[in-house]
Amino acid sequence: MRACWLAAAVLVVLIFAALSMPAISSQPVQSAAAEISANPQTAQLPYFIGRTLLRMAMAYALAVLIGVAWGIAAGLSERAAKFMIPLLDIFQSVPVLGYLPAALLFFIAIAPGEVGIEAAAIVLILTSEVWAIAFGVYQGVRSIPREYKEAAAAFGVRGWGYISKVVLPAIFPNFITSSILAWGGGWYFLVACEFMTFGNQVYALPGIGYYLASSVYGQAYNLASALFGLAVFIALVYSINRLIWRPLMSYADVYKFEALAVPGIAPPPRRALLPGALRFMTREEEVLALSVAKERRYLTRHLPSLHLPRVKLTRMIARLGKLATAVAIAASLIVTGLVIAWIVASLPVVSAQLAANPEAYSLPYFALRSLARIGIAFLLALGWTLVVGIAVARSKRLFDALLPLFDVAQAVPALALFPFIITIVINFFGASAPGLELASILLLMTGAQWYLLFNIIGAVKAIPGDVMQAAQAFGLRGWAFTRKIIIPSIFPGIVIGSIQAFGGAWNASIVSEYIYWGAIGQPYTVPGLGYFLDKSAAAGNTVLMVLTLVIMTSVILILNRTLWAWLFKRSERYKFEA
Amino acid sequence: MALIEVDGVGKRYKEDNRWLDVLQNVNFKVEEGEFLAVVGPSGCGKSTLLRIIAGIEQPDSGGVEFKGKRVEGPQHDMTMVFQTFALLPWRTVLENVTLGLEARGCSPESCERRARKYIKMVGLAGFEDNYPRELSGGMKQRVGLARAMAVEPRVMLMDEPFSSLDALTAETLRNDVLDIWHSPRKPTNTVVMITHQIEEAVYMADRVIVLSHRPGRVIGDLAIPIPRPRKGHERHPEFYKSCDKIRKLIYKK
Repeated sequence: MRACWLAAAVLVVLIFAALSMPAISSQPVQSAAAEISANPQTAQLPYFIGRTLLRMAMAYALAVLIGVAWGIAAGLSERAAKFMIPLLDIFQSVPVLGYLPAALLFFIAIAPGEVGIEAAAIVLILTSEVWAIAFGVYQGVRSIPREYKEAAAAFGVRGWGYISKVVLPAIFPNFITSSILAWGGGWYFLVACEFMTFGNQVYALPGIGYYLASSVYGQAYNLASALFGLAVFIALVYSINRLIWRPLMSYADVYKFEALAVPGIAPPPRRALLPGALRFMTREEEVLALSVAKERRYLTRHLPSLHLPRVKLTRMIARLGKLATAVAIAASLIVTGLVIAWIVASLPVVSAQLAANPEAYSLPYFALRSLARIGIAFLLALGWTLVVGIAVARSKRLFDALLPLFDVAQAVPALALFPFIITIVINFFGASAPGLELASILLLMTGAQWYLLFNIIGAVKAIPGDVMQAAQAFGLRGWAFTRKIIIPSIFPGIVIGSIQAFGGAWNASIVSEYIYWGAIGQPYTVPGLGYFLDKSAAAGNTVLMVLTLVIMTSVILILNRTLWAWLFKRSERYKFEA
Repeated sequence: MALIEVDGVGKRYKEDNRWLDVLQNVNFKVEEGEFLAVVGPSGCGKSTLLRIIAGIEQPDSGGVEFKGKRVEGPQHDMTMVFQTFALLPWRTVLENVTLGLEARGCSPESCERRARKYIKMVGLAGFEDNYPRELSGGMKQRVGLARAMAVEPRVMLMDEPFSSLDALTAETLRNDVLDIWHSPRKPTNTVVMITHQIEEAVYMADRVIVLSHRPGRVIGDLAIPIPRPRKGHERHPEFYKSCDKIRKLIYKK
């Protein structure tokens, strides 16, 4: 059934793209196959897929190591959480893609050639993934019910025993949910990392994203290959979701605490970022009781031989934790100092660069252009996702029919769609300024809309049944029902989705304002921060790159601290009580 | 003619790919002016039955007639009180109570006047501008009651209205509801209340319908011969007699 949807989705894309390309539609179909086999890289596809998977796996493994350690440390220690969580908040709101050129130049300087590019790619993908995992794990640790902590303490389970027997199993569902989010995000950056162009300089890594991008952006424009690559890509993403993540997700159910069973009261649904994440972070009481009892038996039997080393281990961990905290604080102080010193030292350099590149004085204007474009893309995305999301969540038939389609569509890394969107738009509107603006806005939407859609669907589904029935029983229906019940109920979900969508749009803005087209030997550009960043990277101008990044990061942080923080606070009063 | 006729109602759900009968051929009548309680063990489909009467859910067989007409959707003259209160967190007490009135299209001033009257009746005067999260469980259910009464329906349906309250709060609220029921100013003269507490049903109702364990069927229909007003009648000899009868019906098999 789902495979049918997948095939249908691919077919729709194929037909659409074929229709928009007069050059292709006039040719017989078999020429597409010929074109694909003529591409010398097609034979290498299995190798490309292997390299892509290896790259993803390595980045993910590192992200898990760092993210889980970070999340557990912040979750267990209030003191650590005080600086780890705000840090997390800042890092995750910074558009990772903006740092791609800088990271690339840095790693190539250390290890020239493919090794450097590979290292930059892995670090970039890992950076995009680690925050979701750390945050999910942190929330998992924090939501261990107090009774379980007390039970563990009462039975003498402490230190490493507490972490391995209570914390690790308890965070498992959260860990899987956030891993799925992280992995999905990783695909996005993978495409960006495998084919990077700055000016006419191309940095490439063997991989499926490279195959896809080089077919369009490369010297020989080969749309058939690109479509074929897209289909392979979607199949790859989708089958990993089906074969690995979905089984893990249902396996994670075993580890959920059961909500306190008050007779006759249905447990209140929790709000979550995605429908798949509608979870009670809870695990069956018996499982824990059993493991705690086992632990206790073990301890009493082997006392004192085992108890002492355990206590030592606990102390050691505690000491290590303190040491790590101290090191982290010292390190962040040193880094801050270095950054300040560097800024002071580079002030004359910056002013010299500004004098040499007067276009840099337009950076505030570029920031406004980027922001305006993102705002328009966001409003368009919000419009359609609100209508579709509410309709889909409320109609069982639509939900069953469309969700698999969204599932597949979401699996398409938005960056992989860029070549097709640009091809289509430019075919219809030409490479004029309005055409390029439209293409850019559409590209931004691909990076933003799914967050909105899935948060809206999840939020509508999470409205308590009693509230819906009460509204029905009191005769509210139609538009009044939507306006008075649905919209306020899902307001927190809309805010969370909007924050994520804006983050996605910022990332997309970097790659949607400057697109180098190999076949015509020149870039398509629209004015904005992403444009200036790519242009500076192309010129190898580190100072201007950093300046652009500082401005972009500041704009994002200011927006987060003002608009989004305010909306988030406002949304509190719209939440149903648990 | 009875006000409500439940006629051969059946309902089934699909669970793990097999059908589960929740209600089976349920028949009874509710007369105008009656306080009827439906008692049954948990999982006997009591709440489903109430939602079918309200027109929020549709039965798979049989049907419900209200004022001689088949119920096919939410009814203008019936309202509901929910176990979990079902208040909107973004509306104040006053705005929650006007919710049902808004759908009926009354002017804002008369809406507010009526809402204030019933907020006062349930003892919440002075809390009109508070939000639900600032209220205790008992106060929230008072808002639920005021909201249901404000539309002055002919029938009020109550779905385990005291089950999520602590025992003392529930007792107080039960007596307050009975006070309103016994007063001449009551806005509603027919009540159908679902409960799993036998004592609660006997203490409050004129008649008790007993449902069996799943699938729910009517296994008893008793008039409660305790005089009204009922306050303090938990020691009435008939009280124990009725409770014992119901208990035997439920546990007999």
